[in-house]
Amino acid sequence: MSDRLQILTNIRRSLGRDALAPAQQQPLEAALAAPQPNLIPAQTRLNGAALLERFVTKAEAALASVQRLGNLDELPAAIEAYLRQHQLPAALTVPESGLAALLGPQPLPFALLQRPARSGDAACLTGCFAAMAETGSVVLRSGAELPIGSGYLPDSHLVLLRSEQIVDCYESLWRKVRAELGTMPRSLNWITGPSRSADIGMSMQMGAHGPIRLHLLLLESP
Amino acid sequence: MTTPPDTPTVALFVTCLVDLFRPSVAHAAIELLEAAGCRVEVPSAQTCCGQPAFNAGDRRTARRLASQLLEAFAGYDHVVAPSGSCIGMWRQFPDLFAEDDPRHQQALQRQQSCHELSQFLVEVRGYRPPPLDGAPTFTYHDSCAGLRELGIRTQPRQLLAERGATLVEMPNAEVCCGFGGTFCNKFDTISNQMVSHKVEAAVASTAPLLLAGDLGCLLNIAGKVRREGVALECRHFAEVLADQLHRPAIGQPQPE
Amino acid sequence: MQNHSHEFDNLIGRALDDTQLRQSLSLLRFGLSFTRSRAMAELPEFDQLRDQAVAIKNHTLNHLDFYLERLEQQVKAAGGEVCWAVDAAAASQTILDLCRRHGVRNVTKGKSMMTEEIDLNARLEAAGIQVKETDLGEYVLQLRDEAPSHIVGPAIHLTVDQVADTFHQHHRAHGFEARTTEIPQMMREARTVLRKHFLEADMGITGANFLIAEQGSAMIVTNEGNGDLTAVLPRVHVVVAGIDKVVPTLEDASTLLRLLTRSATGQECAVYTTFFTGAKRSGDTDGPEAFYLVLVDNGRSQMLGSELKEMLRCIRCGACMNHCPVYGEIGGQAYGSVYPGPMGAVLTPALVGLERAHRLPNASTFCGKCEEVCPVRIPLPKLMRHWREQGFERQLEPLSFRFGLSLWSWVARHPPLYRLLTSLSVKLLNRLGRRQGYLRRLPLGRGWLAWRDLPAPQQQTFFASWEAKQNRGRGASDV
Repeated sequence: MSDRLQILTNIRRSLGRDALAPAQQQPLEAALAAPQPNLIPAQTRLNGAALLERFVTKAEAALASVQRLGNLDELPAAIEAYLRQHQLPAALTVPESGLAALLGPQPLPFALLQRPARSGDAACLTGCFAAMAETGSVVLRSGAELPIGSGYLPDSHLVLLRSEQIVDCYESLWRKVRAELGTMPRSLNWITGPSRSADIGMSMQMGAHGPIRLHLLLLESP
Repeated sequence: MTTPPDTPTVALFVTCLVDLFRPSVAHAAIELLEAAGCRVEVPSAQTCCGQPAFNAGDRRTARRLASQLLEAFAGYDHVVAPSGSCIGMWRQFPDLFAEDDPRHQQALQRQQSCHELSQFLVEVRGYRPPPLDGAPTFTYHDSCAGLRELGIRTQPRQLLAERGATLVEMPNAEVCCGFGGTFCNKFDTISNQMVSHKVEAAVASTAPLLLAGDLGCLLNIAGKVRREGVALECRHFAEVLADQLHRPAIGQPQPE
Repeated sequence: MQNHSHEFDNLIGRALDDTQLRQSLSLLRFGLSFTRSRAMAELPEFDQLRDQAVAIKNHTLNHLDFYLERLEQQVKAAGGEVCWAVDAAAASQTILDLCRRHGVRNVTKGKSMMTEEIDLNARLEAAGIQVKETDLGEYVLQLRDEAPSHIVGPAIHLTVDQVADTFHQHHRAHGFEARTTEIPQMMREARTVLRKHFLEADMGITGANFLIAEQGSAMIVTNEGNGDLTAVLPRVHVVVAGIDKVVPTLEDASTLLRLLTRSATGQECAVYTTFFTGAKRSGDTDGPEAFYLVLVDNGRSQMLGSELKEMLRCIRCGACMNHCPVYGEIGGQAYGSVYPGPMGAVLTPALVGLERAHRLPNASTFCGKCEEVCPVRIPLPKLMRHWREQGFERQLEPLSFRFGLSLWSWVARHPPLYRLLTSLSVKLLNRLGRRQGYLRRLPLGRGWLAWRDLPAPQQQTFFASWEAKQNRGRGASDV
């Protein structure tokens, strides 16, 4: 008997029944086809300015830095200032060609490398699929020109997000995923602040393996 | 809440530790129950609630002792004990009997009418003790079973406050003292660490007196206090409520 | 990891003598208790979420076969493969086979208790495959060949100096000549060295906090990001998880996730929360070419039909051990098991047998703190008592204990004899101890008397004085 069959048989024996009949499976199937949210914490049900404020507060509490921009034109200067502030080389990796184009016409006040992030890159700029105000998280997904490694390999990870991309809670993210992507992508990554560990001497340090810094460039809608 | 006008009959479950080590606590309990307007009787066919056997995995003995107690205490309005852990055990009695066993029903009914002393006085009788001159300053140890199985935390504190005693909370009052019945003997080195922390916490409170509602905890803590030569008195809270402070505290020299 | 639960009593002694361990345990214990309380206070619906979590887990367990089959279907639809392993040996053999199938020589690992349970590292290393733990604490322990002392902080028993020595010994080969005790510098070193391992790995192995049947997704949470680098860089990603990890929907996983992080460390959210669904798709820029989910039973399907069923609700948050006063004194290594603390005391005998592990469920005062903090309301003391009942039937306790208990039990069932014997004993103990107020030397109770005195009883038992009073007629209460 295969391990698979043995395990399923053991489970059924323990539960005191045979495999579920189609009629018994039907309600379970129906529930899976139309998943319902469980209790959603009331404090997360926000919109408008309150939603935005919660996102920023939570992101900063998670030790991400947040910079609010009025329009896209401010982006190159904002990035240049950030690189200078942290004494990083004036070079930025941008995996998404569309995002690179958004930065505006050359010359930019830093070198732009349009390719997936590599280990050793000081700074990498990505967009995001969504952001969640519940926890101040940005959400990356896998796809074309969307290497997941860009959220982990560089020393500093910069994320451009628009305020319209911010949803209130986990459940709203799932609605967005189902609506826009149909099913889950190969990888869906919530990022809430920079990488950290306190495993050595119980002293919290940033940059355990992922980025040392997470900088959110928040483009507010007019 | 004034004391209800009825006079229920309360059967006192003395508990084996009170019976053996500190009967004055039972006398204090009787006094308090009478002051709260109850008629108190003490059924004679009582020995132990069976918790040592139950926790050691000997369900058969636990069942027999439970059976013995249910019978000895049948017919009384209430069963009251000066111990959260023993009443916690009484409330487990239904599980010891098969559902079709008449004793299961008996145990279920008794589950609703068995109480720890402070819980009974406050919640069932609405008893308010009169203030006592020279009521002491004390810190309080929350015995685990009473706290987590029965929800006892505010009741003894409330009674003591009404008595005029002054509470100074110690850090980690709700952390286990390391008694745990046979645990303190089976894992004595760990138990020793736990009781040492408890004594340190009590000392940190600066109160000269530690009160609690379970004699197991109290013997454990008082025994450690004595061994370390720490200046801390240990008593059951009933002793303060019944004004028994002239008696030696636990582990203190007794006059001839 | 090899089980050493039969050495529990020796290991306790060692733990209690380890000052560094005990200092760190104390800090961690009260720190984590504080952060959990704060997280709970900030989420008013915490207890309602617990109730929902219990319902979700119970429902899933009662339909476990259905959800596992659905999970398998969805993983396959996403281009992954599912391997079922009935026990630890089958699981590690399966993974070894996968290594051979893909010509794997270097493996990176995210933190996974299941891989410890099946003792995977030893199996792979014996076959000549290099395995690198990437969780920083686990990495240090791997270099030192030591077991973890805590689920959240595996290496808390180590001083900074000890870690510095270990790094100095192993990092020279990577170009770090100088020994340092500056923690930021040590982190940078570890980051650099492990980054190399991440990049050269052929296969990444992670566990899963939850497996989501609806989508065929495996979810992990980390604060370091090591799980993600383990999963995304190599050409093969293997997820190893117990069959009890499955939950129906993304929404159900969300509910459990809200409880998991708050219960474990008091965080609202971990830094990295990732959902893996199958293998690299056409169009994906990076990701593993092959994705495998290894579903491990190892006794869980049996537990499902036993008195231990409720244990399968466990989401491995660690709250029980973070709050346990016994674990708080001795740490994780003493249990000699993959799973320490209260949940370990329940699970370990099921995994390695009661004969080997029966001291674990006995090392509890039943204070109930574990059950109080468990996000899925597992009645841990009741389950530990179940093991004690089994142990009692199999006579696993020492003869002296069983005899003492039998004697007490028999006498207690005969009140008149009980009265006589207790009356005499108390009179004697009182006489011996009343002048001082306590007794220090007795032929019994060695464990008690080693550390405490025994308060002397009052003059006579309650019933001796009560009967005397009844005979005299009722008067003022006296002793």
